[in-house]
Amino acid sequence: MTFVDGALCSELSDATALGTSVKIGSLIEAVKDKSFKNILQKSIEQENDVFASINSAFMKQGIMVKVSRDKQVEVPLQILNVSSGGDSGPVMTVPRAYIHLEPSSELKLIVKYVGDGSNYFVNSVQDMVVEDNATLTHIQIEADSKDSWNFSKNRIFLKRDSKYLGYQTVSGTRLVRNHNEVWLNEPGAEMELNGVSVLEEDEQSHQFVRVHHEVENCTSHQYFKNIINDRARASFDGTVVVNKGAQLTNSDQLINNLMLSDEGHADCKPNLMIFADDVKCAHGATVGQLDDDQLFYLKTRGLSESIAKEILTQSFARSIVQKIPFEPIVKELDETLLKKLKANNE
Amino acid sequence: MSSVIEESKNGAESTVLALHKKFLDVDQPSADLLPFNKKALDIFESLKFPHRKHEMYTFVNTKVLADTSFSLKKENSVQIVLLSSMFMRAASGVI
Repeated sequence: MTFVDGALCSELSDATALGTSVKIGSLIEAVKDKSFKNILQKSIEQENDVFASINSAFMKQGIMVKVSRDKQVEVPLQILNVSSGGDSGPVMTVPRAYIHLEPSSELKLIVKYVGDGSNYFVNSVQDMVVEDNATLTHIQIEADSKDSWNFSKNRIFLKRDSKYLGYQTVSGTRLVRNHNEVWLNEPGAEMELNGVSVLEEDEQSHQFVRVHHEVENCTSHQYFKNIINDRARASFDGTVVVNKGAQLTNSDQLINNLMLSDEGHADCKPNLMIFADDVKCAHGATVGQLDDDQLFYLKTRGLSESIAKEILTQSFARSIVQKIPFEPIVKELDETLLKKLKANNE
Repeated sequence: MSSVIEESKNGAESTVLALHKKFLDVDQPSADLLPFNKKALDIFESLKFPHRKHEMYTFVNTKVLADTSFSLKKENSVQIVLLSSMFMRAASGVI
């Protein structure tokens, strides 16, 4: 599905390969369904992020994707958001998506942001409901043009024994902010959120994560990596809330920052708020530079310093990229995101 | 006190409010989504643009973004019609 400046481009969209198990429609039609209307109403009324509220205030179109019960969709669904920029001043687009996986279903969702122009602001919101025993794999790729802003909010609701696997890559613009809010609402729910940002010049990437463990026996893993060059900035502000009664919670979060310059800036704030007494929770953050010993070793094998740096920085990012369970995306990121590191070191 | 630490004074919010008025007049959103648009605008007015000490924006400086006057990209009405027809096909199991 291709959206150009927030509007569906039917010439560039083809959902036939998904078969009849996936229903795709507009929010305007979807809102006629009472249960969906209630979900949308609740999410708007309980909004805590001002930019997401702006998305809702200007919401005119949007896409609804529903996977039928017991259907495992092998073919990934890609939502491609293309921005053409503003010719006569800054423009804002407000992509909106609602993804619903019925019990025991599976979907691979790729949401990609690309831009051809400049001076634009993509302010998107995605609501995702993953019902009992369903699995959602969500790959979000931010590859906008340098002179743009990209804010996105993902709200994820997980039910019994459901699984959410999230992968987010940021190649950097003026300002990128990903706000992820996950509710593990029923026992057995699992979430894994991985992210990698490769930043240079004045690019910025900020991750804001809230994970709510509402009940017992749920698992959450977060693993983020940032590579920061020049005057770029990255931040991670993540909180795991283990509510009263959410016993046997298993949660961890780790953020690694690799600094390639003295002017770069990285902020990390991993938080735990625990109101239960039988849980396993860990969090950590590191900020460092390339290891001189590793560089020296590679140079002793006959590699130049720039190639040695390239190998080390790429392998740092690749540990996240290679987790993505969809080979064409891994290859694409090799040629786009990781290529950025090659250029840096030449 | 809060106005002292606000990143943007009322100017930035009023730009969004003016844009929303234009959105309602010119773009004419669907009657089905209109109540949600209006409710979200109320939420926006209560939240306001984040100041430097806002816990969700501790590390993010949104001043430039909030002070930028954005316009909305014009949508192609034909595409909206196509989207609706696509939904109808999807609902009937064609897609």
